[in-house]
Amino acid sequence: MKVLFVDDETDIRELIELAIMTEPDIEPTFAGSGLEALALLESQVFDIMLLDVMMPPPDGLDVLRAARANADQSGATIVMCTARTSAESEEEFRALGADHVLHKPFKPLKLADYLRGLG
Amino acid sequence: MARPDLFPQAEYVSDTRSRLAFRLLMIAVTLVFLTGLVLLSYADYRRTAARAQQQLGHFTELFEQSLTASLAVANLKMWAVIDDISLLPLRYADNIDAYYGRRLRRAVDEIEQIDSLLLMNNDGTVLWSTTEQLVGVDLSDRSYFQKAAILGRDAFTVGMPLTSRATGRRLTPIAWPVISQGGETRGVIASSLGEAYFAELLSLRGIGDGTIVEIVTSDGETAFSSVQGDLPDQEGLMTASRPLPVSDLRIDVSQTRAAVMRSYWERTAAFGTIALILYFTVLMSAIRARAKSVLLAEGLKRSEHDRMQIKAAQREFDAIFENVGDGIVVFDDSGTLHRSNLAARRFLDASEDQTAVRRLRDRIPPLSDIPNDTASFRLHLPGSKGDAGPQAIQCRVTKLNLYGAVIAYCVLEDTSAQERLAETRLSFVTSVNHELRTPLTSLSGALDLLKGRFSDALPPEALKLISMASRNTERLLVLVNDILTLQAIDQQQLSIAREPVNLGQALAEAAATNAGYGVSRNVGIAVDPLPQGDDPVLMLDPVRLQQILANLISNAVKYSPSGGTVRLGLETAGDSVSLYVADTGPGIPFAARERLFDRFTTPIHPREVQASGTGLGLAITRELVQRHGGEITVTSRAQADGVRDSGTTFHVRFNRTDTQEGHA
Repeated sequence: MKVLFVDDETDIRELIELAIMTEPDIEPTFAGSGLEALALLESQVFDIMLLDVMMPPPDGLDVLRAARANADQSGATIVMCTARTSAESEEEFRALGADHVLHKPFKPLKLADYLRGLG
Repeated sequence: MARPDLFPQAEYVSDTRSRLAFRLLMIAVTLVFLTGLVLLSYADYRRTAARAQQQLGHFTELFEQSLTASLAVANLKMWAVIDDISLLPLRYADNIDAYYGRRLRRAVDEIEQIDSLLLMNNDGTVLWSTTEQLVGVDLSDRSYFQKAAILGRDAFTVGMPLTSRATGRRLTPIAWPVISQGGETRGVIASSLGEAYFAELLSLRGIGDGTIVEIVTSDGETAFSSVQGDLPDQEGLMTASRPLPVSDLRIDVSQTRAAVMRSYWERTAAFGTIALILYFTVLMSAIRARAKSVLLAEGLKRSEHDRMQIKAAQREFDAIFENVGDGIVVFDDSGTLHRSNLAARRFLDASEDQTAVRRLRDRIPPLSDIPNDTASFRLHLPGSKGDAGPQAIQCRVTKLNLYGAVIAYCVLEDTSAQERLAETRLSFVTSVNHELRTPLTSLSGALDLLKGRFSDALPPEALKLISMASRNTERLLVLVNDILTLQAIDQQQLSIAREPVNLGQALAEAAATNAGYGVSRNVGIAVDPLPQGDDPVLMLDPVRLQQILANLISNAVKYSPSGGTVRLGLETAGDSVSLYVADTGPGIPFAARERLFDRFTTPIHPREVQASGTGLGLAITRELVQRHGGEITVTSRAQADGVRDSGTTFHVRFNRTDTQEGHA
């Protein structure tokens, strides 16, 4: 499955890459900024998107909106990845079209299983 | 608060000065009054004395006239007698009685001024007398005889008083010459004015007591005195004198000064007494009036002083009221009271009290709809031109019942700043949270990967160090999570998503979840048998419940001795359902139980016993329990309190009715 990981933190991106590079069924694409992600949304279709919320604009929510506005990506499962924990923000994400919320910090070793669970 | 006396009492000095002036005035008035009294009395004395003197003069004149008139009458009558007995020369005594005896005796009877008669010839020999033993006696040596012998017709003489040779009585001689109508002197006829005569004369005049009448000769011999015996001292007498025209005699009328002035003294005493009584009455009234006026003036001064104090306090209050940071608006229902301060007028964009009250009342319910005591309203006001945008105002209305009227006391507090501050704090915590979690995510992820993927390639010492780093990363994460949870609680943002929770299963899940932590510390976690036939299902937030249990279990594990067991269980009693977590640790000292649930409280245990932690676990646990409507309690037997089989049990109690299925 094609998974888009968007995070402005290089460490996080590398960590994810290290964690899932042993998983052959997961085909990761990485974006280091919102702009990069928006460009990728135009060129590829993803099964799962893992979007970091807090980034310099355009942030994760902008990418979420763009993804939900894009008919090509209508089949994608979108997971918002955030350090925020309040119920209010979760509701906000869901209202914008997010399917799941993944709280940071997550366990990289369990990430692959988590993604498969979504699929 | 003790208010300082802003107006010291220096002005009271003038008071003592005016008191002195008043006393001097009173003394002066008294002196003038007494002087006037004395002068009046003296003038009265003088007048009374003069009048008495005048009266005495009148008396004297009266006496003199009476005496003169009486003597003139006697003189006329005697000359008639003399005419009768002077037809012939007087030669023989026998003949005389025969010729004139009857006539002379009738004369003594008729003429009341005389009481005796003696007839002498020119030689002074008594020819006839009412007193027979005098006949033949030669009286030519007597001065009245010698004076009378040389008198002309119609004249008479009164002689010096003498003592009668015949009777020894005191008498005043009166004598006439016996001159015939032809002018021939034939002898002298004499008589006497006796005391009886004068006394009768006086009594006719109605002379009262105390009046002394004396007939005095020119050489001071007293012919008659109305007083028997000694006269009073000459000094104490008041005397008027008048000479008798017919003789050397003088008439003195005297009155004792005491008698004359008695009426004066009586009058003066009465007048003086009344005047003094009146004067002192007036004086006392004046003094009393003055005392009252002084009191009044003092009262006025004091009230003026108080008024100024009140005014100063009022100004002080007004300044505070006007400039206090919160807005204050006071009004009543009848519209007679409207007062606002500067802040309130700025909030309400009003320039005067009435506008401010009107604008506020437009934004809050009518006074009658506001509950008693205090009610709070949140207002959003456009704000005045100077302010930046709309203002969030907290309006606390307190209804007061004053003197039968309902008064609303409104405090307006600008909460915009507070809200902005809260927002700032929230965004700060959120960003700190993000900034902390992101590196922590990388760190813990990297450590996990290292341990999971490359543990075979690492020496045991390296693995030990990785475990240490991993454990501390976890601890840091717990701290960040705890701080976030507490912040959510404080911001009232902690959501409780209730769903049916089987408590027995929740306990088993908690035991399983935390078993790994127990193993790492060599502490077992066991669930006690559940109550028979009772499998409670309550409406709780399962995630929060696990958080509560995890906190309590991790505490229990931390303090359990190695090889010990933490017991979990469930107790039901009627409506109440309790979960418990019990350990066999050192127990919580009795003195520390009060602050057990406080945030970052001072360590409960001594350094060697105290386990490491964030210091927030129990505070969060209690908040979470309370948000579910539950209650957390602790029972403990502490070694520090001298107990051997120590241990601690936390009870989390819920009410079935509060947390029934279907209860939102």
